[in-house]
Amino acid sequence: MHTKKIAVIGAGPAGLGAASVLSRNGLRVSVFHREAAAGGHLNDWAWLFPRFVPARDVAVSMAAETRQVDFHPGCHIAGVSRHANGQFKIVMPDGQTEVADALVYAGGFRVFDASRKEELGYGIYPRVVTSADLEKMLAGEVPFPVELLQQQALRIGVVHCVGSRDEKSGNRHCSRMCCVTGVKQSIELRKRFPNSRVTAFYMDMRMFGNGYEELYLEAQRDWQVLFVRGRVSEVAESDEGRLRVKAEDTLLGRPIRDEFDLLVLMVGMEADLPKWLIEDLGVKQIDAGFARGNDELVASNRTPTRGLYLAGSCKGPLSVAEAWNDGQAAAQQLLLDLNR
Amino acid sequence: MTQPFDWFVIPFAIGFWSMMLLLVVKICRWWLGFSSVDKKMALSRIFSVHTLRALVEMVREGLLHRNIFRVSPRLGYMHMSLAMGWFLLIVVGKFQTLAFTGNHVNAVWLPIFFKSFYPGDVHFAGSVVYEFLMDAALLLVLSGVALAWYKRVAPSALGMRKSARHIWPDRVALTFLWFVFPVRLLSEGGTAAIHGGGSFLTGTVGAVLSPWADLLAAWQVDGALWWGYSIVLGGFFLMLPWSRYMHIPAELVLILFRHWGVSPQSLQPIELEACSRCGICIDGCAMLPVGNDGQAVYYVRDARYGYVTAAKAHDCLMCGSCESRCPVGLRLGSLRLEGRRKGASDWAVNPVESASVAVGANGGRVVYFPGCVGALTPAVTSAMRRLMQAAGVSFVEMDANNGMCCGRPLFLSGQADAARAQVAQNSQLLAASEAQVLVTSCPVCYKMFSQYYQLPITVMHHTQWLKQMVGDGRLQVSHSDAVMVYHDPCELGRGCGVYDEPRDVLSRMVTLQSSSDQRQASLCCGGSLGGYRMKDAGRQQIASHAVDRLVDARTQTLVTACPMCKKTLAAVSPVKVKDIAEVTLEHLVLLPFKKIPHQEKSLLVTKQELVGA
Repeated sequence: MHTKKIAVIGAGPAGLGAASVLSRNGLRVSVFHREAAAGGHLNDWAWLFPRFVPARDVAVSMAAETRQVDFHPGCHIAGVSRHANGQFKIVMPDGQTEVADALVYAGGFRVFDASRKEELGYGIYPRVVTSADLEKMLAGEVPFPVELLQQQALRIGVVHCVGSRDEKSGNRHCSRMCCVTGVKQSIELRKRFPNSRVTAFYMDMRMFGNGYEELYLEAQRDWQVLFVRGRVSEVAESDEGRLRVKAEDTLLGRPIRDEFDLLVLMVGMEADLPKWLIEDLGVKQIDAGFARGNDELVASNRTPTRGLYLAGSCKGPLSVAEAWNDGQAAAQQLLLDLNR
Repeated sequence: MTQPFDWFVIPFAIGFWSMMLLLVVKICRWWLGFSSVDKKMALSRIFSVHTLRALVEMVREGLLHRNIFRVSPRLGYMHMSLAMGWFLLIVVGKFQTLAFTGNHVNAVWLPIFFKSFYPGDVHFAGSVVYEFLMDAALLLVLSGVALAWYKRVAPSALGMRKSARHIWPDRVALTFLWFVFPVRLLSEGGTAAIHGGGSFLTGTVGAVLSPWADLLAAWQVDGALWWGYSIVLGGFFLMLPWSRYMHIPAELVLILFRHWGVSPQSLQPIELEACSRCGICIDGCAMLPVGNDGQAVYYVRDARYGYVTAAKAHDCLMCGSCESRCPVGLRLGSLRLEGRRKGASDWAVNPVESASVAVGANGGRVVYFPGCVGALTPAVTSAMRRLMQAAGVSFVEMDANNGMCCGRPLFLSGQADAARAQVAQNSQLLAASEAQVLVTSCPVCYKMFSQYYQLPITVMHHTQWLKQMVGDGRLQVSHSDAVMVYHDPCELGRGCGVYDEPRDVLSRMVTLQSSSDQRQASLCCGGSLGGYRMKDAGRQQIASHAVDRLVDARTQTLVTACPMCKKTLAAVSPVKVKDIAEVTLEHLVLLPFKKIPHQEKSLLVTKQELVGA
């Protein structure tokens, strides 16, 4: 009976999680991925919190969990429609189509475009970078701004909640992962630049995962990272190219002016659902724009459309481990329904 | 000749005299509320050309309604026909009774119920002409009434998308008004049916009804109709001072006192009553996407009846659209601010500490002021800095090290005293400097510096500065094939009348699209400092609406000239949003070895040059 064909859209942690379960259960699995290589946003990251594992290794081991699948790299799906017989017709960018009996959507999220917060100067001042840019610098793929290496006492600012929990940028939701990312990157910066001092501006520190709270304490105790509760309101450039930051310390209730050599913006996650998912397959959205499963407790992977499953951070911000598990959960749900 | 009387004139007389009494009381109260300076000014102008000018404007706006014709000819005709027709009925009626009785003073009801007292063909000098004119005037009014009825059903037919909602005194008065002239027609027609007479209109109605003349006479239907006419007319007069129709006398008084030089502050109580609640302001209101109960028409109504709350006073972005549309020229922004000032729990008057302006130290006499929102748009301000460098203008930044506030946010939130303290402090600072030109990037600051400060220096918005520099060839720009549409910032356009300078600069560089929502009709972006209580979600709705109206399939970039507009529009726009300074920088032709002749002169932009530009 396992000759059914399943399409998985997206080959990040969630898509790979789903594909691994489905392929190991003998189903014919096609994985469509818009990038050339599987791994999703893992490929943009150097090391993962909380124990500084290389992201590359994690991507490799996830991909290794899958069995025989039909992988379509560089394939940005143009549209999907559902036939009366319950089958899905997937239209690829070259116009070719493929038919599947069930579909797991694991399209993930989009990183917030920090230039939308113009007051923070991203894209205007070269020393303002995002957490994603910093990962590339830490991994050695992109050089740090040259002057930084020569500077003796570096001052580095970390700005949390950029594009998250911010109604002005239209995002009320919490992106969950940036708090611990900020902590992790602060430590990495301190390791990389031992003479530096790091100040992190936060709203709340949401240290919910195993090891996160410990990492937060370590950053303060062992690496002297200074955490200041308050938002950065504006960034300007001095004549010497340093960054003048205006912020507010909301615990002390007073404004702050400070100068930094590097400012790292913790960019959040935004929904990135394709039109066809909402319009043609009837997937509902939560206020933040992410996809909504049948309910958030016991059927978050299911949709009102029979045969269509949601996996991973298309439903909201998740960590790598959560996305991987959620992909596997979606696949299990699919298997249960198939055997019913 | 004894004056005729019938009991049916009583309702009319009660309404008429109560109205007259109230009008006198109101006018006295307005007068007593004037400052002594205003009173002196008004008295000194009574016998002057100002009075004649006022009379001309009364005819133009009170009778002909020229401003409403500009909004929509059909709407203008409706207002004109009601006002002009009624006015003619009064004037011709006056002369008709004068010709008939030979007395200059007659009972006030005589001209109104003339045909009831003297039915049939009564011959006196010019009687046929008078009857004809009275019928013509009645027909004119009736055509207006018919349009008014139609407008209630279909506002769009008269060029309005939304018609104002009315409260009960307005509805009662409106109902009386709707029936006054049809009932008059029937009364005169009924009388003509029984007794003959009447001109082309009333006579014709009489002829139509004549087969039932005996029945009408037996049942005294004509008497009943005259009673009805007296009741609806008296009822309308009784309601007039309490309803929106108070605008009829108030507007005339307002026009007169304006011409007599009474200060705007003293005129505010009259302005509140001079609003006809025509609703023309509603269609232009930026707040429409988030609700239609805070518009100027409703605010002025609530202010008049004393129902203004702080929430209502702040439920406005102060974009100035209503004021630019108001056919009566009411200063709606000031009326709104007055409500905010009254409701404000005064903040401590603590001027923001300003930076010192060390102008002259490095030879520059130009002060650049990005403003507080400018500081949130570094792409704009860094473009301006580069452009100033490229133009060879040496400048200092007023708020480079310390924040500085122009005072307008305080002013707009009703904190007038705090705003004045801020203005005084900044003025001192600027006066002490050797600055000759102040260039702002923010239209809010520009409006404040140019209209609320008395500075001995030239104040320019950067659009004006760019126009000057590009016009003089100090900045040379190229033309690209980019297609852009320009959004007029409220404070720059309606607030300061700067419409042409940005268009002039932009059209040298790109293909500039036109839009139905430009210049005076520009839509507020929603980010305005004028409504700081507004929630972000509402602001984004307003911004989306503005973007939808401006951007079409061809548009590549939405360009504006206000850091606040840029930020607000960029949050929702499907196309890139840029400031005119950024666009200019992109199109700048670099001339690295250009020699600037008369360097010192090039640093200065004199007032004459600005006016000449």
